[in-house]
Amino acid sequence: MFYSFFNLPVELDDLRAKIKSLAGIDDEPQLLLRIGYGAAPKMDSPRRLVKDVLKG
Amino acid sequence: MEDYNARATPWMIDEADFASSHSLKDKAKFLLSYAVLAPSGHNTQPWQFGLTDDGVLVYADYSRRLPVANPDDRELIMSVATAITNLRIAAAHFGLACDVRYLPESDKKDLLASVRLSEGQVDHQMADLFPAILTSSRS
Repeated sequence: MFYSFFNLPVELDDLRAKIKSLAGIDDEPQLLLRIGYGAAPKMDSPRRLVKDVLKG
Repeated sequence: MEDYNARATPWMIDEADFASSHSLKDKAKFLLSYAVLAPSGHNTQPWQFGLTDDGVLVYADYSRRLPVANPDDRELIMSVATAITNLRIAAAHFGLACDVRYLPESDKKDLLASVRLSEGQVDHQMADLFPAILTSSRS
C-alpha cells in the first residue's frame, strides 16, 4: 500500500472543523493521509545527505 | 558537484557501518542517516542537526518554511518531529537508549530537541518499527 499527504484542508480552520466532525473526534486533526493501492513509485523521493544537514 | 552513485543515495545504508562507529558521537552521526529519510511536508526536509559528544541537537531550518501553505509552521515542526522519530527508532534498532528533551533552551526557537544516546534501556516497541523506515513508500 502507499500513502500520500493530503493535508491542505487541515490548514484551514473551517475545513479542519469539518474533518473533525466527520472523524467524530474531540482532538484537533493534525494530518490527513491518502492511503491506497497503486503502482510502486519509479524512484525514491529524494533526500539530502547527512553531511548536507549538519550544522557547522 | 559530486558524481551521483548508488553509494551516495541516502536510501542505500549499510547497517554494517554501525559496527565501525565507536564513539557515541560517531554512532549518532550514523543514526542520522536514518533520520534524514523521514517524510516531511512537500518534502521540504526542514531539519538540521548538530552533533554532541553523546547525541544530537535537532534544529528547525526556518529557511525551508512555507509561508503561504503553512504560515504558522505547524507542519514544519511536525516534519522535524518525524526525523526525531526515525532517529529514536534507529537508536533502538541498534541497541541504544535515546533520551529526547524537547525545546531544551527556551530562548532558542530553532532548537527543537536535544537527543542523548546511552547504553541504557532500549525501547523495543520503537525498534520494531525499524523496517518501516526503508520499506515505506519512500515518499
